[in-house]
Amino acid sequence: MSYVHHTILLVDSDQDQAHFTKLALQRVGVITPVQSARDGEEAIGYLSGREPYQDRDCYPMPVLMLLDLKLPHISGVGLLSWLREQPALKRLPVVVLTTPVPPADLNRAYELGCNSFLVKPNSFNALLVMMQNLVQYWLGLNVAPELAANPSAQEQNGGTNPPV
Amino acid sequence: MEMEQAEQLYRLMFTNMREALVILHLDVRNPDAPPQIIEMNPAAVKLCRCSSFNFQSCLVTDCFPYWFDEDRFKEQCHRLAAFGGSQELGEVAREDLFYRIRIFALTDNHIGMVISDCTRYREEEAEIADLSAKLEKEAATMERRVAERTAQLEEINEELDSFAFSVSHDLRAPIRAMQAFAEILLDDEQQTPAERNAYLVRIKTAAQGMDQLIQDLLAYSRVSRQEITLEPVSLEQVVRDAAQQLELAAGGKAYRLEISSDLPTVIGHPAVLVQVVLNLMTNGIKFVPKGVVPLLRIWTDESQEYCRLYVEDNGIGIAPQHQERIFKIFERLHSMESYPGTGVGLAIVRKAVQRLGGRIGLESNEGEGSRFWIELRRAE
Repeated sequence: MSYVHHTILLVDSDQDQAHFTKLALQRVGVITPVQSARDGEEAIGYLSGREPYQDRDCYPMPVLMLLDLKLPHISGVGLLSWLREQPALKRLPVVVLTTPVPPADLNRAYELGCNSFLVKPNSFNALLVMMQNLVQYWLGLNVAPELAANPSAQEQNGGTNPPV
Repeated sequence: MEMEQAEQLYRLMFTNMREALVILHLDVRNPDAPPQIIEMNPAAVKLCRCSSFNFQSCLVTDCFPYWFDEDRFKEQCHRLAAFGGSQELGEVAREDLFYRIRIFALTDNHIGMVISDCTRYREEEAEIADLSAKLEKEAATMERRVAERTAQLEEINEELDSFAFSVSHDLRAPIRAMQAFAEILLDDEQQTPAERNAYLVRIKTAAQGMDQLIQDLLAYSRVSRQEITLEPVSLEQVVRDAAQQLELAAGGKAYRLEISSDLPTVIGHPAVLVQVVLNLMTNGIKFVPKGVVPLLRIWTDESQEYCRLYVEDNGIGIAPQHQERIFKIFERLHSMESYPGTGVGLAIVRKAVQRLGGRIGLESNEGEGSRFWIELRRAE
């Protein structure tokens, strides 16, 4: 099965790891290009459609975010907490895909509403299996929430309007 | 025992008591009549300030002026004479000495009074109070020290925990990369030679990064644990050695180095100081924008006791909110692609400066270069 209109936003500061994840996603049938952000700032820029990400044809809103917790500047947990406070973005499903972290960070990630928590395997083949399951579940079985089409316009309204 | 002998013994006892003993007579039919002294032992006579002691009409207030409140004393005596019992009148201070006074009923119109010198007693009490205060203080100090130690140990424990976590994370990352790249290469026939080559380069880079991390960790552990004997060290020599090593480490990369002359002698350790200066210089030439030739300036600034060594660069600078973080082990502000590194270099510097009994700091703003300084005690 292939997944066509399913943009995944991958947030990972380790470019080798990002490469593996992208490659694995491609191999399990994710045809839509996987978008990637190298740190929290880039991810925030992408999600809020700021320069250079205004063009939603090139940079579509993701249906799923894969998040590494180990990020420079804004941590993964920090990004998650920002996301959950954005009226237009807070429903976005987030799967944490990270290197092992202390239990406190794991618990915090769940408190902040991550939808699943995965630890990166060492082996690429194990990663392939993991991505296959992930894609089948999150892009296949799971019913995605509605997100606002234009989050920045929403925010400009002062956040008084409820999200669509 | 015969009456006479007993009488004599009582009198001797009375006369030789160190406490002042006084016998008062009270006219019980007249409540307004003040008690009169009819007998005193020699100890009491010594305290007596009465000019004409005659055992007849002497008033307590004449013999012991200002010792008692006249009316209250009279009333207390009358009550004792009527109901019996005894009463403490508290302490009275007289000419650097302290007296404790007790009165009690002898007969229904006689009152006995005992005045005892309690100065020594008081001094002892004060001493005891003093000692227990000291003891309490000591116990409090001890308690505080135990609490401090516990907090320190807890902090060290936490540090160790996070250290182990970060080490395992940072050592695992290259292993994971090597393994995955190798698996992709092994399983996949469809790659172009260029892709295969790129993957092999990534494997090599990961291995080199891991080797660097292990070296840095060993250096960090060395600087944390090695025995350091402080001695006078010429900064001139230290900077010269570090500059030589920098040339080797830079591997042909262009940079400029300006060292001011007349660097003083400080208290430190030569090898450790070279490591510190080298790490600062390496950072200085590493964190520059693309295309900019690094310029390092090194100079000192001396006060009476201390010497500050400055290492200034024309690099990318560090925003104030990150300036504390950069000294922590495994902290990196930039991605591996833009500025590779292990995140251990400045942690080594800080640990080393701590071990030399010095301080470290920096002045910087984003995009305006950085000026790191270390402060050490000057040698005489």
